[in-house]
Amino acid sequence: MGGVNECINPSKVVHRISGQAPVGYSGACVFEETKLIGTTPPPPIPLATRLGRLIHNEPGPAMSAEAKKTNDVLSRVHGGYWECRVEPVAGYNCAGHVWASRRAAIYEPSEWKKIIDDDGYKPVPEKEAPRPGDLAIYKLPDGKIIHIAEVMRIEGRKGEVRKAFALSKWGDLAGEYVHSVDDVPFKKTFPESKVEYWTERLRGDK
Amino acid sequence: MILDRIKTSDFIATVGYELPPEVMRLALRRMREYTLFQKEYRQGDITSDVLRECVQDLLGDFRRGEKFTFDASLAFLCVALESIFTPFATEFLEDLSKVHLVEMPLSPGVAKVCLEERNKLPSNLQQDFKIADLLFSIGEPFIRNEPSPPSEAKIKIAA
Repeated sequence: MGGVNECINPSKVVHRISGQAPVGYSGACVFEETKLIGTTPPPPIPLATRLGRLIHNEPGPAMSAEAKKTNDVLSRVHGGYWECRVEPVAGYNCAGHVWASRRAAIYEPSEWKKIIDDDGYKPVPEKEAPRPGDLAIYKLPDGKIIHIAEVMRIEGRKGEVRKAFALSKWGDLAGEYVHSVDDVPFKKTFPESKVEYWTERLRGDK
Repeated sequence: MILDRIKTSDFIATVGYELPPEVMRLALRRMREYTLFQKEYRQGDITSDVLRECVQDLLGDFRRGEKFTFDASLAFLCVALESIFTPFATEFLEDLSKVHLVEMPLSPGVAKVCLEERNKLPSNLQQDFKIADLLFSIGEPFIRNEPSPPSEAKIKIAA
């Protein structure tokens, strides 16, 4: 058996040679059978940044009855004020919604950074309000990205405190919901998280 | 027992929506269940054999093509075992980090992150010893199958 899903554990090789196994050694990869049953991801769909760098993407798992139940529970628990655009649907995650037109999931934050850099995204100046189509990027204080959403509308009059609403796909099997940018399911887990607004409007002609 | 709890749909719902691997690791560490796991482990209620059985039980629910129900539970175990340096914990993290399946988009990534963090920690070698049975007669203790009890009691440890 070869390929990316082969378990290669040097300690197992050593112990086969010596004839001795460490205490607790199982003799087989824990996930041997799972790898035989499971599905290796297909090649990514053609997707690249503005500068031509390929963006790694995957189709994501299919919906299951259990996943649908979990999503129903989560939207009931967290989504009291959310407006549902799409019921739970498979095939893409938050980044795939924003950058792959809902065709695939982009799981790796390193790919998200690649897109932000190459596509010329810049922070919306603090004195300006975000506009529809801008991105709401939720981050931890150390810069780790938690979630990416698309700004849909701004409510309130100019000169007053205005409230932004964003469209989010919370996970690769979740639905899509319009919500106030402050109304997010990870708020209790990460009270220190902040939302930043980024836009490609300011990149200028290249 | 915490290992029973992570097999429940209530636990999966408590974990919530999926997050990027590094952030998911932090979220799992902040859960009450993480503290409970560490407590039960220290008390000796969670052994390598018990963990192996739990993982096999979870994997029994794996269905080709469908989102693996206990992907989040495996991610939780990655985080719980990150600072435990037993052969099983190492095997579990290393093997899971190499899995790349459509059905499990979350836990392999969390396993990779946990391995990176683990490699930053100073590790203590843990060795498991098998202790032979110790029997007591009137007066002096002796080891089962020894020819005669020694005049001075000595306890032998068999590796």
